[in-house]
This record gives sequence, structure tokens and C-alpha cells, in this order.
Amino acid sequence: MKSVFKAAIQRQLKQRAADDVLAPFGITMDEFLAKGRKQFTISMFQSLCERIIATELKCDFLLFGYDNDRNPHIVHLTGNGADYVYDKPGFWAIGSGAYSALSMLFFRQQNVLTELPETFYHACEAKFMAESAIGVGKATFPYVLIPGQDPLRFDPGLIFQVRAAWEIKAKPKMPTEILKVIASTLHKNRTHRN
Amino acid sequence: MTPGRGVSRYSTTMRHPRPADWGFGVTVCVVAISTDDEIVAVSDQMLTVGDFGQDDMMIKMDFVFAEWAVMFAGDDITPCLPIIADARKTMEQLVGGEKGSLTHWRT
Repeated sequence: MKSVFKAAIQRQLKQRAADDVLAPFGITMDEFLAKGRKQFTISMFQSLCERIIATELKCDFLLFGYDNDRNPHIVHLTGNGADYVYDKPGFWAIGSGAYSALSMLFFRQQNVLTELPETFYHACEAKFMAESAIGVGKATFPYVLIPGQDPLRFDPGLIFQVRAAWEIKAKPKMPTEILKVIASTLHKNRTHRN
Repeated sequence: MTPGRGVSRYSTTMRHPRPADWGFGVTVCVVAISTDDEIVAVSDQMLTVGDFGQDDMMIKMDFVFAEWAVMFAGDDITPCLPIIADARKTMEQLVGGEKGSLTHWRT
């Protein structure tokens, strides 16, 4: 599946490069590769090659599912066709909120030995943490894939409960008392200097 | 406001707007595997039918083939649906449409 998806990305990338760079010349990528060196001057050919190489799809894919032996897999495919397998640690995130989500999952030490309810909570928590990033909405849609079965979907009530529990008990909060200690220490040090 | 001297009204230097400019695409998708091989996937957009969702306009997750799903994010998500369709078509040709067609998975 990974190779099929990767090939699909590469075909789209090739098409995008041809559309963006070669369309004004009315030639396809295959024609350019076959005859381009003769058709264009060396500098022009090089310039076109550089522009083609620089072309990338500005999107990421997170592909996940089961192989024939029912082993779970997670693959991150980038817009230039590179792929990264995350079967270990057994989780990954993409998008503008990925850094926040991943840092939370690493902090919780999520791994392939984590029980389902905990994994579900960790994934939701990672999503909640990612809401600080630009573009990430508050709406949360979880799905659970079980090998050989239809995926499970959940009504908003469960997410409402998970969010409420997280906000009350687990959402990172700044200890306001320590701010006073920091402020007074800073003030002391400053006055010491003077 | 009129353009300055030497500046075209239809200046080609203006950046082409992307879906991200309207808040589409730049989101988060999280996937994690649990101990009994269940996969938990969480996104901030709903799994949708075909090209358009009920509440949100953009698809964030789709079932590609058999027990494989994909979520996507980025500054420009216009190529995502053609790529998924391409991959699905290739898999159907390789394995056979019947075996891998889990259309009931797609809500």
C-alpha cells in the first residue's frame, strides 16, 4: 500500500512540475526528459531542471492500516514523495499542530504496548494540545480501527467528557505562586547589580 | 487606491492564494497504535463523503482501500483527493475491486 500511495504522489508531483514549469513550452515531462537537452540551451535546460527539482506538493499524508497479516502500520508521506514509517514508536501526527501533538505523545510515553483506552485518551489529548497552533479547530473527531472490523465512530458526548476531564485534571497550567518568586528574585538581582 | 507608477494593476508578483489562506488544510491529524493493534485516529475535521462534508468543507480522512485509511494536512491540499483516487484505483486494479471495496467504511 505504501509503495502504491508513494507512486500516486510521485505521479501527481510529476504532473504538477510539468504544469508549473513545462506548460509554457507545450511539452510533457517525458518529452522534456527525452529531448530537452537538445531542445534547450544548456543554461535553459539546467534552469528548468532546477525548477522541476524544486517543485513539491505542500501537503502531507498520514497513511495507516493493516497489512495482510493484520499488523498495524503508520506511514508519513511528504509532498515530495518521501516516506517515513512510524510503526515504532507507534504514533505520529501531521499538520500545523503536529509539534504540540507529538510533544504530548512523547511526554506520555505512548507506545504500542499502551492499552486502547489510554491510547484513545493520549490521541485526544494530543489533539487538544495542538489546538494552540494556527488553523487547528476545536472540533475533534476520533475513529478506532480494529483489524477485520468496521471502524468505530463516537458521538460527541464522549469527546465532551474527555475534554472536560482533561481541562480540569490534565491541562498544563502555570503555577501562579512561582511567578511571584521569580519576579522577586529578578528584582533582588537587579537591585544587587545597581 | 491606484497603483504607483510602473506598477501594473494586474501585477503578477501577487502571491497566488492558497486554501490555507482561508484556514483550510493547516490542521492536525494524530494516529496511534494500541497494545491489541487497534489504531486510534483523531482529527479536527470530520470524515466525509465524496468531495464535500456535511459540516466542514474539507475532507481530512478517507479510506483508501480495504483496511487502509489516510489523513492529510498542508498548505495546499488540492492534490490530495486526486492522489487518494489514484492510489485507490491502482489498488483495485492490483487486488480486485470487490475484495478491497469497503464503501460502507466511508460515512
